[in-house]
Amino acid sequence: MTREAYHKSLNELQDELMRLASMASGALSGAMTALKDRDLAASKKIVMADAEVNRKRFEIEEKCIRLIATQQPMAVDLRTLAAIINIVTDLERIGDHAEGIAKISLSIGEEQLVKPLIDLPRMADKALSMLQRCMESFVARDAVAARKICDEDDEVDALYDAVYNELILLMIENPAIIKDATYLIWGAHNIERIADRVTNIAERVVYMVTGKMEEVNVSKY
Amino acid sequence: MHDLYPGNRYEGEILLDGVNILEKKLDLIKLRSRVGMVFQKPTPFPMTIFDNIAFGLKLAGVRNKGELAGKVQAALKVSALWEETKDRLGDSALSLSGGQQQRLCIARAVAVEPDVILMDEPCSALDPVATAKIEDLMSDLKRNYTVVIVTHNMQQAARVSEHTGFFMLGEVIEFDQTQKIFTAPSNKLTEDYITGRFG
Repeated sequence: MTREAYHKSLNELQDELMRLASMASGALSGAMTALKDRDLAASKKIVMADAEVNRKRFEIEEKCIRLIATQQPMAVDLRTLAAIINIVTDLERIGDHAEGIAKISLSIGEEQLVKPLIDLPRMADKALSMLQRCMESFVARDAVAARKICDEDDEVDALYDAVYNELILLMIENPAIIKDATYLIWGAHNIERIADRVTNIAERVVYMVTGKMEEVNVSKY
Repeated sequence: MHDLYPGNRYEGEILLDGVNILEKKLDLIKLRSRVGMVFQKPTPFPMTIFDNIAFGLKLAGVRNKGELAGKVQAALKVSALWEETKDRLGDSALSLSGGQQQRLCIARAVAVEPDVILMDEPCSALDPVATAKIEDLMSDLKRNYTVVIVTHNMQQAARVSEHTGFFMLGEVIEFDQTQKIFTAPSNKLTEDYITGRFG
């Protein structure tokens, strides 16, 4: 009773999850670069590519449900599938937030950015690094690493506050930029939400490894 | 019985209300009356449906015909077999289907009002519909009886039980709440077994 085909399917599912994570993180880094470089063609591509992220998410979810129905997974396998079903939702939403940033870039259009982007790319880098390490903690079944990642969400929240306050000040000084500055606040908000989604994923890794459902990061913000 | 075979032995304790039933001086007749048993294959006696259930009651000293009929009816009702057999109580029990025969055996066990009902793979010879009926019956029975079921079907253990014990090569490896055993067992051996990583 070693159930080789079943365990092969579980491994394949993990590979597909990693592919989806890489699609989502690719969308975020691409959207940020396009926003910074004012590359509208690239922003448009990111918007178009989101459908592929959505399709992949449903594909993985369906495979999980099929395995549950046909293989009656138990214990860690059951927890893994439950975790994957939740994680694909978060990854898909991360893709949506990246698409949101690309749409903001398109909305700003040919206009100059109201300020050079410094904190926004830092937020994105931080969120991307969190996502990358979170998915590594999934593969390594490392609940300790996953818990630590949740703590880092506060740094992203702090950066968001800094961006928000700076842009509000700029708007007070020059009301003519309100529209484009608001777009950037939305962009920052998208990244802040991405980091929140990463903490959700980390919580699922903790559940998968330990069997305990817990809210790992109660934000100070 | 198994210790009568050469080389077989048992050790440890099985406690029933705090009393170790492996004690040498235990009154086995008394113990047997407290523990009903249902086996893998249905084992109806070659007699009528009614007599199958009345048999144990008569042994227990029930002589009054009215009382006997009442207890037979009650046992068949508890075992969800009354509606299917009430018009054919005089038929041979061997004329029943496999699933009905198994419920008859449960009725026979229930009739003498034991404290515990042991079921040893009670559904392994049954089709899915008959299995579902027995499982429903177990859910009803457990309100009034302690039901101990031995099964190799992990999904069945997960469906019907409140507590699960995992045994391997004669040792109790883990005993816990069923939902804990099947979602997050504490013992690696349990985990490996129920996820099919050895066996």
